[in-house]
Amino acid sequence: MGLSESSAQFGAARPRESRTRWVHLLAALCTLGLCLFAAVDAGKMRPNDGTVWLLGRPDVTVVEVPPRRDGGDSLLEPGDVILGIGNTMIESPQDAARILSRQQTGTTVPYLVRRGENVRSLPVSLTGFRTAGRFYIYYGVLALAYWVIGLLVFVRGSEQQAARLFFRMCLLFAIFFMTNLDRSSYFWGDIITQNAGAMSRFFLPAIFLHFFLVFPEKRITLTRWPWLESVLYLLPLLFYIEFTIDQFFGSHAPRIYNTRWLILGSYFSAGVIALIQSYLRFNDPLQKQRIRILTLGTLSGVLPFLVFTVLPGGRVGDNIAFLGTAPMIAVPLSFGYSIARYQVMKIEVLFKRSLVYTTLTTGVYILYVGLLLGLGAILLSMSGQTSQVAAVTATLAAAAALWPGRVHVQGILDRRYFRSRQNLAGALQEFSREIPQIIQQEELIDRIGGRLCILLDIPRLAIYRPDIDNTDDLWRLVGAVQSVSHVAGTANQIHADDCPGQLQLAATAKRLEQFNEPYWIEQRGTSLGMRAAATREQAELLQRLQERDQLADAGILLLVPMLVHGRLVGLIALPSKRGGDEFHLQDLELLSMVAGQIALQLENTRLYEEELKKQKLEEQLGLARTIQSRLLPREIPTIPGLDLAACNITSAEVSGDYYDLIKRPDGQLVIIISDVSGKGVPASLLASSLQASMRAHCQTSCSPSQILERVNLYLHESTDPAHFATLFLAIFDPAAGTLCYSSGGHNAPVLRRTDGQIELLEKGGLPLGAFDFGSYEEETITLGPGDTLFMYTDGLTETRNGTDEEFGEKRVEKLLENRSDLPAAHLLDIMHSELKTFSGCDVADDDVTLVALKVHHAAQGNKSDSVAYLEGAEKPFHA
Amino acid sequence: MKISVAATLAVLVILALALLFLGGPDREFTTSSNEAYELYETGVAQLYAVQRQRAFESFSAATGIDPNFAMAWAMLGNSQQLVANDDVEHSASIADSLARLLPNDLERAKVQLVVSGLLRDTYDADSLMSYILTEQPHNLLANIAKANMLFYKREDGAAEAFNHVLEIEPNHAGAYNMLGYLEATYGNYESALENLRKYAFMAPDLANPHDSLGEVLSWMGRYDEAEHEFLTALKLQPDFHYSLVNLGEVYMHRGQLAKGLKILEGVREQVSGTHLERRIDESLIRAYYSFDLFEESLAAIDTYVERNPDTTGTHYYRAIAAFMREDESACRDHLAEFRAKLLEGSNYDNPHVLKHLSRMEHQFAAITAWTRNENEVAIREWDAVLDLMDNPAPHEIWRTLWRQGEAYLTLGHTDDAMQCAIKILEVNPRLIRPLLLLARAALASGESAIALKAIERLKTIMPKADADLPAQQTYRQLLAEIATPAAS
Repeated sequence: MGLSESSAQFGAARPRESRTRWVHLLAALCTLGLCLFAAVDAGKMRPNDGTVWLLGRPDVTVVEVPPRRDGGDSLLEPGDVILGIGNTMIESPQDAARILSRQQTGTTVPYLVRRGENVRSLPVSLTGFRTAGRFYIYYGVLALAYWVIGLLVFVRGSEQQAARLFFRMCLLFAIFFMTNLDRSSYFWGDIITQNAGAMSRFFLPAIFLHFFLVFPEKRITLTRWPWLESVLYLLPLLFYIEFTIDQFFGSHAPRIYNTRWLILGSYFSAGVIALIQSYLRFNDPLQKQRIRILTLGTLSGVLPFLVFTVLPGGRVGDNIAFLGTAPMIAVPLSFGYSIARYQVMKIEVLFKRSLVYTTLTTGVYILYVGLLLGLGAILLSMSGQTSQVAAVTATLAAAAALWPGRVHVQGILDRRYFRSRQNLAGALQEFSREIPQIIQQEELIDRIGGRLCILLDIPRLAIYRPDIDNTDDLWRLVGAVQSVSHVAGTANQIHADDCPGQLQLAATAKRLEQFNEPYWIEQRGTSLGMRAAATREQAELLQRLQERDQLADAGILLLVPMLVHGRLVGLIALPSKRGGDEFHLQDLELLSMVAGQIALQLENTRLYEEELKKQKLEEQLGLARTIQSRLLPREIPTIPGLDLAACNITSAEVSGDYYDLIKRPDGQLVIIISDVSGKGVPASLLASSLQASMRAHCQTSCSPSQILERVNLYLHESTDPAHFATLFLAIFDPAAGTLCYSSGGHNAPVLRRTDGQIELLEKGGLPLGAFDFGSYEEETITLGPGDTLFMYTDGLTETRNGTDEEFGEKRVEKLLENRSDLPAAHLLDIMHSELKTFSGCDVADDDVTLVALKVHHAAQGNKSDSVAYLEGAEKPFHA
Repeated sequence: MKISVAATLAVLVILALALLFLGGPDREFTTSSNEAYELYETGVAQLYAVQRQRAFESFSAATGIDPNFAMAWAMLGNSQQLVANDDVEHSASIADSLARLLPNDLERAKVQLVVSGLLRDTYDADSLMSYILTEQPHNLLANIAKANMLFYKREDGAAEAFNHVLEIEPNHAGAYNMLGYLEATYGNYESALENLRKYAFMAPDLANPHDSLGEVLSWMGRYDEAEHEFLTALKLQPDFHYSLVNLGEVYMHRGQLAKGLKILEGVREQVSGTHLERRIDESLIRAYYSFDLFEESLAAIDTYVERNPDTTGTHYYRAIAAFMREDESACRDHLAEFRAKLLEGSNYDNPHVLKHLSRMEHQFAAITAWTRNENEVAIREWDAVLDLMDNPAPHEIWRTLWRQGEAYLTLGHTDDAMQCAIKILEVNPRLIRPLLLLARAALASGESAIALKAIERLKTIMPKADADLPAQQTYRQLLAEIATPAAS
């Protein structure tokens, strides 16, 4: 099974419990042992007095004297207490068994019995019979067949509830066939076999019904009310308890009463009805085909059993009972066939084809040889020849005459067993050769999908892949093809509109990943009738039903999972075939295998593309770094009375930060710090362009605001509006000790006065390049000795720590308040260290550019110190 | 998985060790030969199943294989005793010698206990038995010895002891026999029958169980069944004289005196000089006397006296005969002789003997008083007789009760007479004289229904009885009486 929603139920997810498995296997061994024991016991004739006695008494109290099979009269009566047998007193049935085991059947043995108030001696002729009837060997074969098929199913599918139930049912059937309710002697083994027989008779109908309520699909009722499964066994349990009580304390021999038989028979009938209903409700012809044989086999086996064995209350002669039991062989045979051919219950028997094929081929050859010998003999007798030459000639003639027939029959066999496999093998071979050569996903979908459309005669095929950016189990259409003309055998890519662009599949995807087999979308309409799911299983089922409706609405009939290393990487979605033809098993096998290959190839393609992207990115980053590094001044200009330091700390993804320090011929110092939007090469190129523009304008005598206005226009004209830059421009006049500045949307630099006052240099305007309008304010301030100006890009203040807190301006200001006495280079060093400590990592998310300017009381700047420091600081955190 | 495999292996090892150490031979007695021990056990089982000859053979074989097997020698002696072999003492002495060499006190005690039963004065059986029972309360051998001791010493608890023996060994046939006997003496006839049937079942080749069964059945008036059992016994052992005697007595009880006499006479010739001969004579005396055949009774007494001139009973019977012949002087002399004979030796102060003597004297007084028609005296004397009986079995006192009833009837105390008769008939409903007494007393007291019931029962008995039996006359009179309209 495993094609439909129902089969998802059938294989309800359950963790494989090795202990349960071992217990079941132990049960199989015990059953085998019990059956062998029962066979030996049933075949052995033990001398017995033909009475039935109570287990629950310390003595041997006769509770019933059934008519003896030999027609004799044991003289014993119900109520007799057997005190002695064969001149030996007995105290228990064990004593009786021991004494009778030394006697011979047919002999008369003195019994001492208490009858009422009297004790009397009776000559009891010993009878003896084998409980094994004339058909017992057949029953043995039957039991073995059930045992083998049950074990096979369990070993191959123990994780499935239906497989476990089937296994238990087979064990009970095996016990049923090998045991009976007649106790033939005092031998303890008789009690065991009798009780085992009773147990099988009581519980078999319940487990039969239970199995067919779960197989081929678990009934919604059972999913909704799981406790119903236990309730099924309640009556049989009560009956068995009653039977046991009768054995111990009853007033007659333990038996299965007519009413009990009828109830147990109704269990069987209900099981049969459930099976028929399951068969009829399948709309999918493939599904029907897969369970058709086993349905027929079960019906043909169980119905006679019901009519001839169960309904008469088990009290029928051997012949009638055989009529009911003999067809039961159809059940294991049909299940075996269905498993071998259709992998029912997901069980694959590897040896099936070769074994069956070999057997049938051998049969054909034996038949052929037999026929040719027979025909040869007939020809010989007709001709009246007796010589060996004539015999050989006749045989050769017969062989020649029959050869075409043999070839024909063999051909049927070959076609029957190998045609689909050969076709499949051919197609697969072709795909295996072709798929690895296609690297592009689109090409892969076009070519292979198109071929599949033609091969399977489906109008279209779509492939979905998980949307990795979406956590809502969204599957996006990555490609679809349609077969334009079935006759022409061509396929073209179709518009995405023909297939849903995305599918929301959670439970279905989970199931597909779990079972890795084609998933049949049944007709919508089945409803659980539940308001809310009580169990995880119910919840998943509900979700699957909702998803099924979504798929059905989209015209998808079949989903084929694409798995790589057990991970679902894609889905092939197929509509129904042209003309409503059914999918065959070999179609599904082909789809499964091709899906696996496509999945692998898509995965390889993805990995290849990812690698390619990575390489490109690396190259771009390298280029960006190079560009960026070239933007930065090679050395810090030396201005007497001014301590100047700057650094640029690049992130993994290079952004567009840069700073510039230009010493004008008039001795003024131009300070620029900028952050260009975007990352990588584009940002670097923009920064490069900005730098060039700024350098050009800064050589003029324009004020900062004028420069910014011009550069803004230039940038706006030459770049995309989405690209812009923030920039802070300041011109320091050492002679006057003034600083004129203007900001293009940049973070306001922080000025710490000698007296500790903090000022933000906020004058300016909008970022550069964003708009073609706007003016920039400027301001001129005087810098006194001890004043410190700190400029930075947003990489500093927007760096976040583990609690998603930004470094922020306050920290910058606080640091400046506390450490302004340090030289500019050391100040940057401290700022850098604080940033690393704050973020907790060595690699920054964004570039960080820092520039510090400090006015000395006297000229005390040390260029070499600053440069030495900057050379180290320019490296990333991790460098 | 590994744990479960290890656990399984451990269990298997433990089982193997248990089988190795616990499954070995568990012998109660020392022998170097397994075969000898098996033969010994077989012999014991055969002994318990009253297969004495087979047991003897088994023990012989066991001692042949292992001559140092002390207990086998002891049991050989035991079986020899049962099959009347002369080598009992020889076997017992060997067992005794070997027992002294046994290192185990308990085993030695067990052997010596058996030997003490064979050589009665060698050991203190009581001490040995007590010692064994202290060590092993459920030891079969000691429990059998204890039960037998209680039985033969007529002490209480014998039945319980035999029941305990049967709890230990349900197939000890002898215990059923003893229990059957004990139950019969307690008046528990059904229980006695059950035990005896078990005995008979276990010892199907023995005549004795059937004879015992027949006896109990005859005490219960189930004469046909008793006859069947006696015949079965005789079939098994034609020379089993007890059964012949009992069979004869059954006929006598039925009123078939001629038939009974024929059998008894026949047996008497075979058992001449034995206690059985005396028993036959006594039986005849009692039968004749019970049926008012005084002449025949006197003749029987004469015969008895002639054959047994100097037994205790002889003097008593002679006194009875003298009284019947109205020779008062001789009667007194014989009674004096009877008394002297009974008290001779050390019996003069034996309370049991004195009690017996008193009872016999009261019995004699009752007989004489009744003969003299001194019925009130007779009643008192019969009461005294009954009082002096030590827990008599119900079937043993029927003659006393019947005679007392006759005395009551003569005095017109019909209710008392009926009570006496009913008490007898409750045990044995087919005794002719008590039935006649009941019918007569009932008619006299107007209890026609009771009388009719008694007569109905007599109707099934009397036709088979001898036609010349005096009781027939009484029976006919009763029939006539009951036929009258008044009686009706």
